[in-house]
Amino acid sequence: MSLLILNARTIELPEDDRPLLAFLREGQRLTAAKPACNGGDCGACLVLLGEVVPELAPGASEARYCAVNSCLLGTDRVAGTQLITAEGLSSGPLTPVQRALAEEGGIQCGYCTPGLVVALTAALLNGDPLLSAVSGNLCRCGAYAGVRRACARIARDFAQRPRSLREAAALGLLLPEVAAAGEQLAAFAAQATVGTGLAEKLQQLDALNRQGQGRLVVAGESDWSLQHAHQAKRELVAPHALQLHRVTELRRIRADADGLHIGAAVSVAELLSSPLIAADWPELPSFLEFFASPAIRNVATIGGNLVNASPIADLAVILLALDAELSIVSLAGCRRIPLSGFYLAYHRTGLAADEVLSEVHVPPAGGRRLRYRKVARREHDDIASVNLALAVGHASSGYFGEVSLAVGGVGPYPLRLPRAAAALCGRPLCAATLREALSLIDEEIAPIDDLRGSAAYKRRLLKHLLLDQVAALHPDFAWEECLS
Amino acid sequence: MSTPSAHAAPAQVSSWLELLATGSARFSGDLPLPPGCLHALPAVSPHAHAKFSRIEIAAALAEPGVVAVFTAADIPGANQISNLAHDEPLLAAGEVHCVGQPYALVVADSADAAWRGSRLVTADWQPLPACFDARAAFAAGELIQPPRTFSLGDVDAAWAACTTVVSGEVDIGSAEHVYLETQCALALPRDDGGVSVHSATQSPSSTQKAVAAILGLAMHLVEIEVERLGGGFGGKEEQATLWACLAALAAKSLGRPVRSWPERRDDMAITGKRHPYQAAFRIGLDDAGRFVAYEARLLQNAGWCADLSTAILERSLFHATNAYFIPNVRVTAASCRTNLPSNTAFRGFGAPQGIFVIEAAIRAAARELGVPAEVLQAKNLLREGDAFPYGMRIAGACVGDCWQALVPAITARRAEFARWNAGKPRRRKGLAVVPVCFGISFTATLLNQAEALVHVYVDGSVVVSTGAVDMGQGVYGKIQRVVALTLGIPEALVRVAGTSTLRVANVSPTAASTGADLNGAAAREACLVIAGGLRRVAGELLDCPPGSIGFSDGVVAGGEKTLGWRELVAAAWARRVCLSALAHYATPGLFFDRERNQGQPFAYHVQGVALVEASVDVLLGSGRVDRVEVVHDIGRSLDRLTDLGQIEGALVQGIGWMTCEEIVRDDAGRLLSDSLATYKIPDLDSAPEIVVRLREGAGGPGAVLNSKAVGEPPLVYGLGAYFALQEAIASWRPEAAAVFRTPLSSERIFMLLHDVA
Repeated sequence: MSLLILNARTIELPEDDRPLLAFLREGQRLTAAKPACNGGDCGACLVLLGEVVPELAPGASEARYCAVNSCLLGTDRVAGTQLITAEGLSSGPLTPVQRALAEEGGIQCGYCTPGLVVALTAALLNGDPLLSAVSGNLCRCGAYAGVRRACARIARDFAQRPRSLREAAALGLLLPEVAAAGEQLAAFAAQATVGTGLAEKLQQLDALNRQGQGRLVVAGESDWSLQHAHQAKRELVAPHALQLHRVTELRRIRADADGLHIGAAVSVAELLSSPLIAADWPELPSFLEFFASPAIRNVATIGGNLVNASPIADLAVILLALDAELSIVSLAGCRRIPLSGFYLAYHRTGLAADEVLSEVHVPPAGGRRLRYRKVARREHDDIASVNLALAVGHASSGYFGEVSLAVGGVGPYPLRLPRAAAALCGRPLCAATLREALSLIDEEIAPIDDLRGSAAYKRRLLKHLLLDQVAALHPDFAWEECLS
Repeated sequence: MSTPSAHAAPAQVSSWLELLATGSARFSGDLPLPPGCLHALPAVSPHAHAKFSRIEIAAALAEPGVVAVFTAADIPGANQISNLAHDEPLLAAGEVHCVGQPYALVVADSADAAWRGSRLVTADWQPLPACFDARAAFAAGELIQPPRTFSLGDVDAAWAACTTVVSGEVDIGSAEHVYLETQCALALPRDDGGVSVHSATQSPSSTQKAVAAILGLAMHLVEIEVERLGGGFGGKEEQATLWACLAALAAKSLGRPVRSWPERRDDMAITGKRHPYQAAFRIGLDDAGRFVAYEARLLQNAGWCADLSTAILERSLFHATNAYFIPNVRVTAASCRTNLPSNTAFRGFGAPQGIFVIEAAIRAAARELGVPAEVLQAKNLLREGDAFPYGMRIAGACVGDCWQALVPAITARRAEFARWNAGKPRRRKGLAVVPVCFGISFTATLLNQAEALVHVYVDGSVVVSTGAVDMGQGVYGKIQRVVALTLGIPEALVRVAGTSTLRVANVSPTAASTGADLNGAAAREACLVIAGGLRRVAGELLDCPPGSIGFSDGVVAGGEKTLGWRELVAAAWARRVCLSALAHYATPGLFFDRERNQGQPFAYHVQGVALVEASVDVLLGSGRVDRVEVVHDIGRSLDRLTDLGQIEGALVQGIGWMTCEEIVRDDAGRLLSDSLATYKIPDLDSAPEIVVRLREGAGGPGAVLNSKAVGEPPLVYGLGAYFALQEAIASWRPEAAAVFRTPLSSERIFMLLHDVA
């Protein structure tokens, strides 16, 4: 039996895993969270998820609250947590966040409003910048100017963030009884049946395989839910999904002489805010702000992004350029392979049925700098048409150093471009060098026409992305001379 | 003129907004489901055009949870849901005309089971040729109605007087409404054989009429209630009817409550969108830069049935010359039948498409003459008394004043951008000035009527019911204010009740930006009737002539004495004076002769001008609308924050249509951009900085309390995104200035810049 603190009440979760949004709306009659896109693209269904995560900081007992898409999670995923819906924020008088939206013209039809309120409340609880916290909240009425005015007012009114849920309640941001319930979360989470170890998960996987149940291992489940909802015939959520997000070993980020070791269930948001990551790759967090929406980043994991094997996976492209390696475990043991050997075909990896991706290893920066850029139809919260990552080593002035180049959207899976990279390595930084690399790119990629753009567009755009990144590293670089 | 800010907000947030802010406001899909409620979803055609003789429902019926499957043969009344043309069956019988056309209805005990069941229905399809292109349909004579022509002067003779004549072609893309709340209806069967339907519709009465027709019932047995809409934008004016009829058919047939609520993908695949247009233009100018002649042919891609296409086409004609005076005009427009889901109303209702063509023509002329477009635009703006091609003359012209207010900004930016681009930077800048002159009224004159029912209860509280539907445009707030101002009472005493066909009958859709004008005026009329009775009572109580009684802020004053509102109401009731009124309002003076295409179709025009600034990264092709400055004619605003929000929001929608939003289909007509993962609407980051100055002038007849309609006209400013981006692109690749094809997506911009084959 799994428990959940839902606003101020502790409830039993259903035995079978169910879509969380439907559970809230139909099962619990909490209808503030709205179904709108059913794909994590709009933020109308956001709820606050509070978790005690001792995996990250041993001994931690304070809950962390973040906004998540209830349309992308199953009820199993929220066992042992506190969920706060918009109903848990106020019971009549408006919270300061709600008041600001109402009085500054941030509300028109109101359908997206509860999601906006949740996102802003989460940002206040975490001390995050308000505007970027709502960057994934779509408002079709286009009341963005009003939302901006509201954010400005809230920022003025809350110069200091509340340090606890209780303090937030005292400031009127949520109901006192909800805050009080949240304080019991640590004890509650300890009792709840979560936090199994990796060995146990591997045994479960083995058992499922023996029963012929097929393999269904998920970590953040944001992308899996998306595919499930629309393609998997809407059967009840598969009871055999193996959840990895609470596996302690998979939630850690470590740094040592060999570089960074990132657990496969580390979320993109955790990557983005990790001081260890920023120490080696100071620009990486700013690139990750173009990864989906804040709410998706709160649940999507590095392992999920890699195993999902999307041809345009942001993290796969970045990690390929960084020469990352993967640890893959099974009951038989552990093997370590380069990420560049992981992808076999479109949405196919070398992961065997009894294996789980456990860790991602990134070699030390050693003076290398990382650049990353994607081009999409919309600049933020969109899937890339083409993306490109470039890692460059130190070099004498006017020359390229070591160059590693990885790209997405131009082949069946994320690719390294070794020949184009070699054409840059150690060569003079000039148009002739780039022109040669660009011509080699042509031979290394095979884009296709699809919704993200025509093959001709993607082919040419990728070359321009390389020029763009070289220009970003060397502002004097004359990219115009390289255009054909 | 003033710049609104938060300080213009009402001191007290209305209870309506409070409900929305807390999330306790109920939308149709939030209503508690009655016990035994079933779920209904249509099975839709996989073919763009096909005949069929047999529908296979056995597999669907065998699906666990599926309760029933209905086909056209099960419809008790007429298989017809079209409001105007009677060419749209609820469920296709024998032939389908687009991918996504419903031909069966699956009813199940859960929405998921209905979804699965709907995929299991099939038919013995015999595919037929399909056409998706308006030009091809026009060439094949596939028209919804014969082409129409609006004209003024003598175009054929006028070309001789022109020193410059430029022609070109235009291709305007479609757009998906993406009302965040998808279509939704919940139908409840009643003991008297009728049905009550909670429908997310902008048009309760046409929904009522269609449900009654489908079920073979008199309209008085069908009630439609609307709580509020999570966005509509025109997409729920005509196309909410389908879902209400599906739910009602199942509810009536099975005797159980039924909800029909498609998810996003199904909604996007099944419902119609903004009409794409293909057009050709010719414009002639004299040597002073004055427009002498304009000719255009507009081909509208209507989709497979009429829906509102002919009315939308007509509005394209009405606005074909936008805010300019052109003495010789001939614009012909045809509504072309294709095998797409039937396109429908979308904010602006065809006007933005017509306006895009003249704005493109002006850019083409400016390029030919080597001058910025705004030089030509400024010379040709409408002046008081100028004639439109439809027999009306502009009254209260102020587009020139709005333009003047922007001249310093235009001049400064023009110089700044010229300097900037001269340095050959990677990010090129461009600007566009877009005026608008938008006629207010339904162009179908008969729709310009409304009713309101006002009750004053003995405790002094007031409830008002109208036909208006609130979809985020703030019409309830405006009606509340009209009632409060008319009765002289605090707004907190006034509740605007949800829209119900039982309280107010035969309502016009909430559309054409007229919701507040029509329903507000009717509410005011009803209040004046009640106030008339109260005035006589107050005269007696205060011992002064009724005509001298004043109502203000809950206080009734006459002579030296005063009386509380509540006291007066109680006294009136005790004296058996009527405290309720049903009033009717019809916009005066409207007529239009469709034989001659001449008349007085509009009560007034809304005018304004926007300066749109954009930039393009020429290496990567990414474009951005950076800033928009608007001067907009509002009359005397009833609610500045609402009006400001409508301008800002319409602008963002218009920009989305011109830039990132693109409907993509495959060669077989299947929608590929069928989710918000693949159809991108503007987000916070892509919305530009917007500076709005409201010009408070005279309201004009027909504007309720002189507060002018605001919903649609500002969408036209968004067209500036195209022309500003185009200018930025042309600074790198001059040939791009001759291309008029929307949207300017990042791919399209890149291709224009780099001319990739």
